[in-house]
Amino acid sequence: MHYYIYDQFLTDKKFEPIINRIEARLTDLGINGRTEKLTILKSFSEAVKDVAKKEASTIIAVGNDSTVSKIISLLPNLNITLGIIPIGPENEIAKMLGIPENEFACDVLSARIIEKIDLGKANNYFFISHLHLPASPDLYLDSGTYKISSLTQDSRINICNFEFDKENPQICNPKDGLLEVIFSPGKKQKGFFTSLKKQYTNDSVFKFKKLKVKCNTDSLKALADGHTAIKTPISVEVVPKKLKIIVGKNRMF
Amino acid sequence: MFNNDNETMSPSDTDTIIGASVKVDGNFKSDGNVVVEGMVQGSLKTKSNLTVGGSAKIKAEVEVNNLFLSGEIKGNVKVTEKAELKSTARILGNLETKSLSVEEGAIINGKCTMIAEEPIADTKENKENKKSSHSK
Repeated sequence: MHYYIYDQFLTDKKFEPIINRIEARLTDLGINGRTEKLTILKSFSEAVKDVAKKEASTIIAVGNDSTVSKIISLLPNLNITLGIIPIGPENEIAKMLGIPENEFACDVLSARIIEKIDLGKANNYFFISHLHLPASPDLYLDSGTYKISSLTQDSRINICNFEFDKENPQICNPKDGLLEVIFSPGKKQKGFFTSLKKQYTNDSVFKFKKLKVKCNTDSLKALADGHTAIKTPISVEVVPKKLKIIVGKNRMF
Repeated sequence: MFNNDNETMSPSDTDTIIGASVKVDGNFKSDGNVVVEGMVQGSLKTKSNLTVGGSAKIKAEVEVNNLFLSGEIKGNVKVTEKAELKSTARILGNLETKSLSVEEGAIINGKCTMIAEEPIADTKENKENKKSSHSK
């Protein structure tokens, strides 16, 4: 049974025609199921808990990157496969998974190619894409045997699980059982996910399975998948093959 | 980062890149290729290649398979296969390697030891020769 969780922003009337086309296509393909439309009164965690109680095998996140990230953080301990129907802007995760937008995503769901991918874990929070660390000279990463610190004050630091760059296709593969720390000197963050798309030629890259993010002075806030703040010290590790996700043929890994 | 001096590795071949804006303190160990443009203190070991850029400063005991050096290493260096020293390379410590290539201008302030290709095998003939020479 498929459960479709619609993000709250889709209540906007401008999305009505797209949603109608999606629902029609799902019916055509015979994969329509129950829907949960999020409102101010119903959160992601409540919706996912409800779905889990009903012993659903598949949850479909209908929305954008933010929708996917919020649902992913709730899924790892449940034996549920995740699918995505991307709508609207900021759908980098869906692109990397080879899932086209709007009603075209329904065919990918119907084909049901499932991959098991890694997730990052920061303290008790799971993330799919990256953990963004604030620029600070007091911040350092401790692997247990060595420490990594920045020599400049404006370095942007990201710990990535799932990120694709055309120049360096091997970097940040969600199936390699590793996370990558990327130090980017003097580059200001432009926006959610798009900020990571650039060349790595001036960057520092470290691959690891587990490390700690520490700060010499006050506690700093890191941002997981662009929306969840986590305070230092943070224990970061990769959890291999933690998430079952429906992918398209054109996936980038 | 990848200038003409160290074209031997592209970023996709490289597991670790220690850029010019980064410092590593402690015992760094890797199985893959490592590129250093920044600072390393402690020890640095890899089973693959180490490429050290012109601006890099390493104060560490180094153990690598192949070394391509344009920058500075303060500490003892042990290379299992080949050490290639560019004109700007500086080693302030002892170097041990199987194969060595040095450009004019490179500096080695320390003892340089070439590791033998293969140790001479103790064959039966060798043993007999040794015995006969002792008995004489």
